[in-house]
Amino acid sequence: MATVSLKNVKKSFGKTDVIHGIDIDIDDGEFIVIVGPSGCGKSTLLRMVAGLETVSVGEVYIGDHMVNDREPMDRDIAMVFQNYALYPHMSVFDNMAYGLKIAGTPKGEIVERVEEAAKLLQLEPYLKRRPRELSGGQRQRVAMGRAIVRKPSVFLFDEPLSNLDAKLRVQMRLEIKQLQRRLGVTSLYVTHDQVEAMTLADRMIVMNGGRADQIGAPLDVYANPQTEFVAGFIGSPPMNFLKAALAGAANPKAATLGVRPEHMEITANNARIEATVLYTEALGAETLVHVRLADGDLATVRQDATVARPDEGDSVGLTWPTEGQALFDAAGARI
Amino acid sequence: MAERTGMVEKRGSGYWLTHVGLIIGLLFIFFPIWLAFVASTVSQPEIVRPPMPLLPGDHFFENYSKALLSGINAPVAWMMLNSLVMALGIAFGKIVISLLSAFAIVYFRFPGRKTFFWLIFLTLMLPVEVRIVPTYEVVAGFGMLNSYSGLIFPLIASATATFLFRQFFMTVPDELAEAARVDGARPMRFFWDILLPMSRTNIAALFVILFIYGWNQYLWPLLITTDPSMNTIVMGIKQMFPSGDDIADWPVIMATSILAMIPPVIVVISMQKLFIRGLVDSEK
Repeated sequence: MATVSLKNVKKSFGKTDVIHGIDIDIDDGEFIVIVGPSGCGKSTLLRMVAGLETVSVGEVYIGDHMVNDREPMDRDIAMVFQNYALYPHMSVFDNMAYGLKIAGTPKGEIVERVEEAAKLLQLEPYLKRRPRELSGGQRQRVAMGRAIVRKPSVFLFDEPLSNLDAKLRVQMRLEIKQLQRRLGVTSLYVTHDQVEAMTLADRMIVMNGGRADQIGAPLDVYANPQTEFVAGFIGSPPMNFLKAALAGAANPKAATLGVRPEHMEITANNARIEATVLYTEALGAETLVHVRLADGDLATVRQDATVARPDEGDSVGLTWPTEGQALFDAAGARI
Repeated sequence: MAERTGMVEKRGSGYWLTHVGLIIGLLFIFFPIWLAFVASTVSQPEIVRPPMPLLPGDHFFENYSKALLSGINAPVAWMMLNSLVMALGIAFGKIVISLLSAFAIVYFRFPGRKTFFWLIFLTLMLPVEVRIVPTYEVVAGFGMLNSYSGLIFPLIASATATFLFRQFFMTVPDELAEAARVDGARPMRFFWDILLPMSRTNIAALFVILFIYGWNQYLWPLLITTDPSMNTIVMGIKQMFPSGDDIADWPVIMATSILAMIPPVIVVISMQKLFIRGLVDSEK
C-alpha cells in the first residue's frame, strides 16, 4: 500500500506531445479513475505509472521512491489489461502464480496465496483450466487474481471491463469496487466510460487532449464542471449547451451556458427560451424530451414520468434555476 | 454409422467415387515403392531376368542384413546414422537459430533491426546451389570436409523459419509481453516461459519439414564427403551405382532405398499427432 504522486508528468512520442503535464497526489488506498475519450492519453498516463512507457518529463513517485527509471517489476505494482493478457498455455493457477514464481516465493506460500485469491474471486473450481476454457467474466477475474496474489502497493487497471457485455460489466464493476475496498490497495483505473468513472472513483481525473481538465470527486465534478468539455463528457444524457446570448446570460464574457437536463423544465409561463419538441423518450421512471431551440441547437429535458409529456412538434417554453446553470467562456473554461 | 447432421457431408455416390479415385491414385504412387520393396527381397539374377517379379522373394533378411552391415562402399546402418545426425542437427539448429533471431527482430529495438531483417529475408532468394562454390571454399578452409560440422553448419541458417517465427511472434499480443514484464520476467525468461511454449505447434511443424529437408540433402554431402564413412544415405545410394563394367547389386541398392525412406516416414507419422492436436486446440 502506498501513495502515488505525479509531478508535472509529460510524454511525447517523437515530436508529438501526448501528455502536457499532469500533477496529482494520490492518497493511500484511494481509487482514482482516469476517464476521457479515446486518444486523450489516459492509457499512456497509466502505462507511465506502470513503467511500460518512459516518462519524457516530470517525476512519478510510488510511496517515497521516484520510480522513473525502475522496471515495472521493481515498482511494486500489478496491472490488469484490457484483453486480460493471460498466458494461454498455462492453467489458471499457473497464470496467477507466475509472478510469484519469478520472484522466488516458496512453493507453499504460492499455493496459499493463489488459493486465497481464488477463493476471493470464486475461481476455485477453475484453477486447473486453461484461459480459453473460461468465459469472459472468469478470464477477467483471473486477470485480477494475478494482480491480487502479488500483494502490490498499487493496482493499475487499463479498461478492464471494455471486453465484457453490458450486464457483466455492471456486475464486475461492483466486484472491483468491493474488492478494492476490502483490500484497501491504491488503484488507478482507466476507462472511457463515464458511468464506470462515476460509480468507481473516489476521485476522478477527466482528461482531454493530454491535459487533466479536472480532478475531483465524481459528484463534485458532475455538479461543478470546470470546463465545457468536462460538463459535456460527464453525465448522461450530457449537459445542454446554449448560446449565452440567446439564453440571456448576464456575464458579457460568457459564450456558452450549460444546464443539466434534470435542471431544465418545461414551463408555460416565465420561459427563458423557446423550443420545439422533436421527440420524447419515456424510460419508465423518467422521460427525456428532446427539443430544438430557435437557433437550431438541440437540448434534452429530463422530467419525471408523472409530468405530462408534450406532443411532438409542440412549441414549449424552457426554464431552469440560475444556480443550476454553468457559464463557459469562448475557450471552454468555466466562468 | 448413425445419421449425422450439421456440417458432416452426405454420403452419396460422390463419397464412394472420390474414395475410388483416391485409392487408384494411391496405388499409382505406391507401385514404384512396391517394386523397390520386391526388388529388395529377391536375388540379383531374378531381377535382371525379365519379366521383373511382382511378388516378394525370400531373400529379405539376406539382402537387408547385407545392406545394413556391409553395404557396398560403407554399411548402410552407418550411413543412416550420418544422415540422422545431419538431419537432426539441421532441424534443431535451424529452429534454435531462427527462434532466437525472430525473437530479437520482433521484441527488441536495436539499430539496423530492419536492415538485418531484410538481409535475412534476402538470403531466402539464394538457394544452397547458388552459393555452393564459395561455401565449399569456406568449409574446406575451416578443415570441415568429411565432418558432421561441415555437413550441418552451412545449412543451418534459415530465412524461411526466421520469417515464419517472426510472423507468429507478431500475432502474439503485446500485452502478453507487458504482462510478463509486470510479473517480473526478464526478456529471456519471457522467451523461455511464454513464447516458446506458445510456439510449440509451429516448432513441431517446422521440425517435420526441416528434418526431411536435412535428410534429403544430396548435393552438399556429395561435395564435401569423400570418405565413405561420412556418406549420408541419400547420396550413398547414388554412390552404390557401379562405375564402368561392374555389376550393380540391385537387391542391396533397393533395400537401401527402402531403408532411406523409413526415418522420414516415422518422423511424419509420429509428429502428425502433435501437428493435428496443435491445429485443433489453436491457442493464441
